[in-house]
Amino acid sequence: MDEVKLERVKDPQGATEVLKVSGGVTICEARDFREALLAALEAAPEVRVDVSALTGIDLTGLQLLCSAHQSALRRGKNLHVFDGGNATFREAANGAGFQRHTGCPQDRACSCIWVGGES
Amino acid sequence: MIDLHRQAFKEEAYELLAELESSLLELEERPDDQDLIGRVFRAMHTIKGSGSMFGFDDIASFTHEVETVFDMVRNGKLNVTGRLVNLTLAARDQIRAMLDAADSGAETDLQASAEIIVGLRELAGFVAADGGTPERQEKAETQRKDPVTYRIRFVPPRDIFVTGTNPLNLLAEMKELGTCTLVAQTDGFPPLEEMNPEGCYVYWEVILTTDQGENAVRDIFIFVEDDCELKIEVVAEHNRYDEQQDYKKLGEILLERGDITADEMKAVLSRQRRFGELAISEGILPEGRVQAALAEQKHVKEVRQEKQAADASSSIRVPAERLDLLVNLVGEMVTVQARLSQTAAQRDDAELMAIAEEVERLTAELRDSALNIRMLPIGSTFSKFKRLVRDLSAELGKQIEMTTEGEETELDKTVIEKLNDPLVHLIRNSIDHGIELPELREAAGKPARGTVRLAAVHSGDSVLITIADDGAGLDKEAIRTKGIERGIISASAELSEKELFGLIFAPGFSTAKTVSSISGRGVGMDVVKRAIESLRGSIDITSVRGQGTCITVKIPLTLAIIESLLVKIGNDSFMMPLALVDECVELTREDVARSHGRNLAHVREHLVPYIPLREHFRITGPPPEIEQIVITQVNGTRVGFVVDHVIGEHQTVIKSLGRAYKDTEGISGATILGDGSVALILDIPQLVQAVETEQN
Repeated sequence: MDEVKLERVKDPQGATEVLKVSGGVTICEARDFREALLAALEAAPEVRVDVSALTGIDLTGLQLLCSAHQSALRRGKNLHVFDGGNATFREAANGAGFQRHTGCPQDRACSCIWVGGES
Repeated sequence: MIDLHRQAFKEEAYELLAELESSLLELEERPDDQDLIGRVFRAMHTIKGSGSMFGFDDIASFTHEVETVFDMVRNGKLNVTGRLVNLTLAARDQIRAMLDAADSGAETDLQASAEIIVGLRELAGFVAADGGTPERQEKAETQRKDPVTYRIRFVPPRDIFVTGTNPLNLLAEMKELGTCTLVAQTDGFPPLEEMNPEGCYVYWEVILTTDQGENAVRDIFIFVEDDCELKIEVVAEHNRYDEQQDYKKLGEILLERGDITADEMKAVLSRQRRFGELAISEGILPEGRVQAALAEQKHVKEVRQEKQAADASSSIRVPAERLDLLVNLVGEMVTVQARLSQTAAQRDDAELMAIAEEVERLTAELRDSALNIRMLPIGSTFSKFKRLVRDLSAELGKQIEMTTEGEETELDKTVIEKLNDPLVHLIRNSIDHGIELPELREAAGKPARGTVRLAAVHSGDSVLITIADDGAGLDKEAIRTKGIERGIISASAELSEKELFGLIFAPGFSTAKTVSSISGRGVGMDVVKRAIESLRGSIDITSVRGQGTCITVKIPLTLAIIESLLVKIGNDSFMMPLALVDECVELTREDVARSHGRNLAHVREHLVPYIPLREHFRITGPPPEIEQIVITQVNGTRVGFVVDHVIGEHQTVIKSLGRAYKDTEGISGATILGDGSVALILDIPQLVQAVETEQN
């Protein structure tokens, strides 16, 4: 599996923080991934996790994404996952049973990252 | 009541036996085909089971012996051999004889039964000596089960990742057991900052529909079972016949699973929204639970729908008379509809016309689907012939292979039934006179094994059935000599190849020098021809000496409706089957005068003989100045029929004539026209024949 790369980019307006994740996220990188997600949530009200260049993700990674989304909602912030049609990511999520018809109770804004074909 | 069931059993058994026969013949060619072995076993098993249920105890006990042997074959303890197939075929015939005898009260040949059983036991006993493998049989037993839908909750221990087990692998294994829906449950997730990135917080609700037992599911989790929470419940067993397609409501599932309490459910239900959405937004339940419950609902529904679809696609048994009645009624309906359209047109009433058109469209659809119900694939008839070929070739010491094509071609049920005997005759002829003995074939440079090809194909509103062999072909000289000998043709007659081959359909014609038990009594071909013609079909032969013979039978798709040409003579209407009509030409008084009463018309330099129907049917009154000749094609020659007027094309629902008119020559049936009057349908070939014999 390719080495994971976590890049944080701020868009010009400063309202959205983009966390670009590329390579493979496994249990070895889980701690770093969590820190990166937390830092991104601190930095801006709107976080976009770009997983379009992801080449692999295990259960720990999926758990962290879901938890990050829930945490963002609790803080009144927004977190989106952008997969750009990344089949690896979709297969991993569906294969582990994360796909949903409706979001969780925290998800008042209908932004659940697992609903439909992730935006 | 009992009789009714017995009758149903017999019908089913006959069908099973037919299937059994074709499976056995296929098995002979592909002895390792597990699918076929399974089919044979199941057929035997069903006959045995329902046989004993309806009091056919002798059949049940006899079939049991055969079933036992095939159970061994199925379990790999016995190989399929020619002897086994022979014995099983004999057993199949014996079961059939027992079924036949059950009603008539005749004694079945117990000696034959005993011989077959002894033979089978010998086969089985011989192999049983070298021991079987009981485990294999057991395994086969556990696998034959109806599917069950399970609800599985799998909560892995928090440290499962650290121990090196990937829960996804376990889930993947479960997916292989059957249809499986995973729903990851995320409700136990702590906030990100409190989450141990290496801990496992997710757990799953799994809905699995499988034909494996609960133990198969447990086995997957065997290494983690002690540390994890694993709950397996049966949601539905899909084996009962009285299943409803509606499964429990979502709320009921959640309540049953203990995910919500009855009070909570009532509270949510008091508001009229979709239950799942409500329950989630109320915060009663995590969405994952609802998702799992929805998956459960879906699984059960799908299995039940599949079952229903399978039941629906199987078939309904309906007595043929009911279908005939339906087709008759539809026929009358078509007639009434024609009257309606005609009346509407005469009244010039737009509203009535609109209704008439609607009725016309519906009637056409109704007619097509009613006729369609009676259509059956010809394949079942074909497979019967396989047995015929096998037995006959063995009897004659010939090696013959039969190939079939177009088994799926559909024909009206009555047509298929009436086609059976003529086809048997033709195939017998091919085997007996066509295909040579292996030595002769090899001497002629042909493969020792001869081929009879049976094919059916749609061609317009007809079906063409070809019986082709690669045998010796027809001997033109022998046919000619025989024709002269029998006085069918004169010694000086110049005959085309077609006419010469046509001679073999003449009554009392047989070229076989010796009479064999199979064919050659000289009663074959003329009977065949008559049978085919009674189906409004035709028969055609091509043959090349030394290379083989090909017989083509052309049969209309259905007997209930024909396209025909409506003509009038005086005040009477007649129908001529359009398939036979070539063209129409005028006949003036001068033309008649010129031919000096010889009934010959000049059509584009050719002379066409004609039959004045007015005279033939002794219709009184003067003919019109200009009459019409409808020129038809009968057995390759053109013959005209003189009528007063040609009205036009007409789709005709055929009504058979009453018994009193059954033998009326030249008339094959009748139909009712739009205005309520009756038109007779002309039997063109018969008319031509009648006039020919009259002149001779």
